[in-house]
Amino acid sequence: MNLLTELLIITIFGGIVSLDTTACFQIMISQPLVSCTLVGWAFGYTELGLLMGILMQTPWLLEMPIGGAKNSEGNLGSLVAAGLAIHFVNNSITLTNIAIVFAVVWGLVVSWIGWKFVESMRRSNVKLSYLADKAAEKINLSRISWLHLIGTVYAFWIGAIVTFVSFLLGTLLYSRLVAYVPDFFDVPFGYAKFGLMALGVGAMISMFLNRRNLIYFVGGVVISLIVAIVF
Amino acid sequence: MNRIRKRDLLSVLFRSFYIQSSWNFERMLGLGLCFCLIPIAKRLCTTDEEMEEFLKRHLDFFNAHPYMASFALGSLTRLEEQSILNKWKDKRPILVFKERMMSPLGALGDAFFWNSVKPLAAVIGVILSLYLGIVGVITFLVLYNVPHLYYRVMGIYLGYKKGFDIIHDLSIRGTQKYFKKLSYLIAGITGVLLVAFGDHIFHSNYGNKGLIFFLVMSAVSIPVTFKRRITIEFMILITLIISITIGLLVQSG
Repeated sequence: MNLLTELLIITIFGGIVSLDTTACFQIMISQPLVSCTLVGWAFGYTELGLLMGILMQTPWLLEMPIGGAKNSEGNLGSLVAAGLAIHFVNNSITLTNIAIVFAVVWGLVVSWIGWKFVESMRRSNVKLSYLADKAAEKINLSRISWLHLIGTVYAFWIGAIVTFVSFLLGTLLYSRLVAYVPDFFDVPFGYAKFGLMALGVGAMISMFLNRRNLIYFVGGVVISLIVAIVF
Repeated sequence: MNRIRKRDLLSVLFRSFYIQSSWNFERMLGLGLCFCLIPIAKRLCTTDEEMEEFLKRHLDFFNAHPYMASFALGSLTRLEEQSILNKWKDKRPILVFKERMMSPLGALGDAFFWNSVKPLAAVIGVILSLYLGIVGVITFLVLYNVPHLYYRVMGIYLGYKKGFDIIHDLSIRGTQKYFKKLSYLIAGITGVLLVAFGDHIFHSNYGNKGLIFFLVMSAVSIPVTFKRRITIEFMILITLIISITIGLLVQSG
């Protein structure tokens, strides 16, 4: 698959992820487990997309979109990371584990930049409310609807633009840096996957484990250990 | 005098999927709520004054969990209809009701969806993805969206049916026991996640070394994630640095 096609696909995905994260539907296709797998499928490497989704899903659960909480755009960051990792491997720029590590680091930058854009969008959406006030005075119902739906268009374009630029920069500039990493680093870099899995488990334990439900956690461990040993 | 039809409620339900489109730091879901109630305004308001008052009433500040906002939409539809049918002179009770609805809707939605259903569905999805591939992803979407869509639809239906009385059904105290049971389930599933990851690592090329590293890192990450003194980006970055350093040490040793 050429870069232009990849860029087109991931840009559309970026817009959809941005919409689903907050603006509309919220059916969770924006979650890393889903979006990374979809990118993997579209780029022709579903397994790596799914692995990226598994690695990125649980750590980001720590961030909850409660009220006006200022959270990073982990969904966008994970999407770009999955796209980049697959691009690096598919184009033989580097080996899988090195690709994952560099893509995740780039994804963190994207999630931070993405949040800055979303924050500015939420500020500029205030103007939509003021314009809606004026439309209400004139009893212009369709204008109120359109003003509200402009927010959807903003959200789509912000997601799409952030994804487009970050994926393009990632493939053109960042891949040169990645290509310098010698192949023998692939084995030690593999530990990063286990580190991310551990962070995910740590996040879940810190969120849900207390004295009262420790027994359920232990029960889950024991039962699944028995299943793992037997099967 | 017009009464609300099923078609109007369906229109509100469809619009409720877009309730957060113009979310902003000042009025949060204010414009979104008004957007969702426009079919009701069209149906009920017969004069320009009524329409203007209706719109201004619902353009003001509003915040709730996006799915649970359906309860507010349903009950506000009912109240607006009653106010027209019974010719209320003072419509302040609608505003007071709206204000009173915000915190329970926000608290319940955050506790149920963000803090329970989402992590539970995600962890089950991740575990199944490790063994069954894409089936895990589909399971995650189904597990999450069944309660999601149920609450969206039932929120409008029950809210419209009960009007003011819906507030009694939305007490956090009444639902606490269910959240406790859900947290037991999530704790159990987290135990399964630990073993599933461990099993996956043990059967990879890294074997015992990878498994020991994973278990130690899991234990270390609990206090770090619990205190949350640093952002998740930093947690991930530090995790990567530590993992690669240890990986290099293991390789050279």
